[in-house]
Amino acid sequence: MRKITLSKAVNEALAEEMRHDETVIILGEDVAEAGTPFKVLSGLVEEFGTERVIDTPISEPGFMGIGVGAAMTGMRPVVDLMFGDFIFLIMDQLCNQAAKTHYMSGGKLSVPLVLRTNMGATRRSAAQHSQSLHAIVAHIPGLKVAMPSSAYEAKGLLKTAIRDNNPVVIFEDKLMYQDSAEVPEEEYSIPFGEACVKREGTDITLIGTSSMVQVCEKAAEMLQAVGISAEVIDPRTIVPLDEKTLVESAKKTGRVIVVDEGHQSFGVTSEIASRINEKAFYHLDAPTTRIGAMDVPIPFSPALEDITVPTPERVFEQAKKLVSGELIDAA
Amino acid sequence: MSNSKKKLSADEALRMFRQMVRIRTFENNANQLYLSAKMPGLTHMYSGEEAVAVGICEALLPTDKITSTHRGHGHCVAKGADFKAMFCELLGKEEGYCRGKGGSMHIADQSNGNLGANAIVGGSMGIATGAALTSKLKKTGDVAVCFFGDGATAQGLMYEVMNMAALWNLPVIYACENNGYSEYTKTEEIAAGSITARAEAFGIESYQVDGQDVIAVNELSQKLVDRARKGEGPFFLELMTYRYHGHHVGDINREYYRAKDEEADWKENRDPIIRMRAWLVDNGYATEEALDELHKEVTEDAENAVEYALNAPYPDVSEVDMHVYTDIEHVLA
Amino acid sequence: MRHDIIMPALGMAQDTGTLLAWHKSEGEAVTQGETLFEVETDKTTMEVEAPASGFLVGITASDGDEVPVGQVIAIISDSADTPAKEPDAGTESAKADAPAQALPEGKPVIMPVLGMSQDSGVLVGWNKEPGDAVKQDDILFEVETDKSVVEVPAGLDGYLAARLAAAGDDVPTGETIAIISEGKVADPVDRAYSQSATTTASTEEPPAEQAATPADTSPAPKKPETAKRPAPAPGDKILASPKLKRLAYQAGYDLALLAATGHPQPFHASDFTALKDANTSAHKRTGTAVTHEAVTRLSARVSPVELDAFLGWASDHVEAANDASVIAAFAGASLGDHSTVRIHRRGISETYAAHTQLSKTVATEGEPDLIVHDLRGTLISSAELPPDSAPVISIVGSGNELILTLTSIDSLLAGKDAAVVLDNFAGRMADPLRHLF
Repeated sequence: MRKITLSKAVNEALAEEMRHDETVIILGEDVAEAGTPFKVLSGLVEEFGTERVIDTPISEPGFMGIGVGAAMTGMRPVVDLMFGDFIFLIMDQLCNQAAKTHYMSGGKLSVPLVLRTNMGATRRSAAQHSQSLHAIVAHIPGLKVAMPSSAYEAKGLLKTAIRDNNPVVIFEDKLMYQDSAEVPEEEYSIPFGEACVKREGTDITLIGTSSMVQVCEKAAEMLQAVGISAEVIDPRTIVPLDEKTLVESAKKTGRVIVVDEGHQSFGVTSEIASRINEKAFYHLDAPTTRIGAMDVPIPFSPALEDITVPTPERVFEQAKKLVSGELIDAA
Repeated sequence: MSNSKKKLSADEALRMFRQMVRIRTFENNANQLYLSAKMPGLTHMYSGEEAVAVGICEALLPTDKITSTHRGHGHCVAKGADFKAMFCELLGKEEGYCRGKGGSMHIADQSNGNLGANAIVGGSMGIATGAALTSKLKKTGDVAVCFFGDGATAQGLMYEVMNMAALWNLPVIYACENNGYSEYTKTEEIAAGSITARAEAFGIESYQVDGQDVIAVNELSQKLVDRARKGEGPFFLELMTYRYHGHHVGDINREYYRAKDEEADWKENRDPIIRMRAWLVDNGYATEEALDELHKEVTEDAENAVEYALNAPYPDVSEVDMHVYTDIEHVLA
Repeated sequence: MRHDIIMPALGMAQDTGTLLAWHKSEGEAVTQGETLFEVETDKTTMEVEAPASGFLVGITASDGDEVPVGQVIAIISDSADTPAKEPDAGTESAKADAPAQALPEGKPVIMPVLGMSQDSGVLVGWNKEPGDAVKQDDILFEVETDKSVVEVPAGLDGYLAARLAAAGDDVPTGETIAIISEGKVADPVDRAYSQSATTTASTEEPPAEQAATPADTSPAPKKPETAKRPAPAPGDKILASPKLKRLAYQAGYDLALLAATGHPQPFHASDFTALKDANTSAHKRTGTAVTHEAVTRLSARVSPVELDAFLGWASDHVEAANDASVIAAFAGASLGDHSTVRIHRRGISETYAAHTQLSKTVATEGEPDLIVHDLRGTLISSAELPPDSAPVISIVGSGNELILTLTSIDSLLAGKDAAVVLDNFAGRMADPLRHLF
């Protein structure tokens, strides 16, 4: 099968959906001729014109609000937020307006909008351009949250997001835009709420989101070398969450590590670990543990930044401890 | 009253009068429901500002869109809403416009193009502008009107979306209801300079109009709505008006920020309904008796709707996790 | 036209208002807009105006009263006559009954506290009629609590002089629901429970305590123990994973016995064998059963003839089939779809994912749903193996028969279900062709 970059996969998903449905438009900063700073959208304005690939001023709340209004009245806007960190600028439009409109109107109005943005540290961009803020969005009922782990997922999930009648926030890891993966030539989409078992194993389950799936897969390789069989699962969407697949794997292996690039406290790792604890407790042979980003703002210096995020080595060491039955005590 | 060149037909004039009376009557009943502790939560009265909502909405088609505010009952009635479904919503009943999930501050009536009241001051400015973007892209000819108060001019969102609306010539009319007070503070204490100048800075054609003169409001709105349909938008209106009640129904002792004399002056000398009534009689469109009869009909209609809503059932508790997502019937199931 | 004057809701979150002063008095004429009264809320004092002209009548709240918002406190009427008070059905009828029949002297019987956190009890019914003589141990009444129905004895000898609650009444605990007098009373009281009435029951003596305690034969329901496992010695907490704890509980094994061997903690599922050994040897030493759960034991006898022929055929014709996989397939199919079966035979243990198709019954890993000890061909002629973390079936040859014995702790498989499983298995062993169809 052909291999394409994640960037190209996103571009293809948008182009295909824009060809299928003329209500799909792109709205954001430098999305047209510039094709965004990451060049993900290059070529789209040439095909679809500036009426559908719309450059906005640097007014995140403004164009997000316009996206919400357009979605409520018959368009399917894909709002492009240049950096995930800017989500704090649009919180009212995203969380008070888009997320609640369907509910507050008793089901009469809906907001079929996609907010495409990114996440991920180690790009030497420091604290305001490196955050992974998906947990904050996942906390708000009414929003769906997708986290592609490769080019394949990026394309399939974005196509589903565009066709969804709810506001969907899709977080792409900005360090993965140039990573290639096998992506079919023919059209496909990936349903929300269906986790993907990336690798089967019997001793421990590693649950990873976005680029942390790769981290888990590398850790699984290392574990295999020492005779430990690790299962790797990618939830693909954290809202809705395929709890069943995660819990079943936890019951099977009895040991779980959850890895996510958001800050460790009050985040996705905590939520998933908690659900496993509730639903699989009597099958657990070790405490379910979390590995997230350090609870510090992302520092600039490479020497500091690199130690803030989860690595395959950390996952490997933690998995060994759990499997060997070492007493894990956080205190 | 303004001396309209294009003379209003008796039907149009009486319809505007009736709509203003309907709003006033609705609000009086809503106020009573609150004071008698029959209505949960609280509410913000539109009384005194009727000519703004009616003058503008009478220039719109049902397919045109509006966004409304926390002081939104007037816009909802003026855009064609039904009393029963409105009172049901105010009381949190199943038959309310939003099945009781929105209440007074989130009432929406999609069937008449009302995209909803918004409890975030200035929160709907993006939505109205986005609705205008849809109209432009889909070439529907719809016009969007964004109602907001003078207080909302202090929100940054307004400047962002007016900028884009002007850049893209969107068919949106920003209708600033300047009732003189931003919650409990005089507008002149929160707004520097001129309000219309804010829009003019973006090259948006702006007007200040007497918001207590329904004919003046309607005449200007007709013109601007027609032009917006032709792609000549956006426009900005500052409608000088007055709210008779406090910021909300519980804001009773308000002499610390507003004198009783001032309130009496607006009520007695500038009331939009009294003025329109005199105009109708003077122009021979209606007799005093006929207008009394109209008042009576509307009052009965409202009382029946209140009675209906008080007796209507609450939504079943199973609805609590419905309508979170369009495609998941019960999100917690 | 009549206008109700209500206590208005004024503050942001106000439930009541204090009526400071009336500016008008009963029967006085008022005109619309005149100040009627002053109210104090949490924040401010304000004057409330008359909503209409007329006469102020029917004042129900006085200066200084705190009144719930929405309550009618007066009426503006067309005439100065005080309107006939709207009869309030509830209070009127209560008053009619009220000439409170004097309660007889005696000791009160109270609604007892029976549950863990019980505020009230529902009186299910009386076992004695008013005036009846009662003995201390006689059941006087039945009470339903959150958990169960409890019979409550009289607690003392005497006569049931008053019943102050009726069947179905929900009575707060501690409230008097009956009076037992020393002597027979001529006119015993019998009425439903009403809060105010009981306070009139005057007695200096403390409530009969015995009555608060249910009979020994029907003890107060206790919260079931969450774990039936024997607790480890106090202060000597055993560290074990939830999974091992569950397996130990299901098999009836005691973790303390493993801890006593000095086996390193924390224990995990991989320590199950050690746990089993520790329990088995302890069992041998002490001769006491360590199984804390009811166990089902069933036996069946079948002829081995057809089975032997079938096993021979299968090993020649079915790919990868052997005695163990065939028996695993039979056993698994008897238990249900997709069962995992472990076969112990001649010291070798193999685990199979059972499938109705023999060729698809393949080796697997994981915990079994059923354990089979195939003791055919050994000298053992009778076996009843202890239950394990899954139901156990032993197969022994005895003369011209195979004896199939199933043992299982009841929480895994019991009674009718166990019988069905063994019957299914025995049927397949007796007539293997049945398995194919």
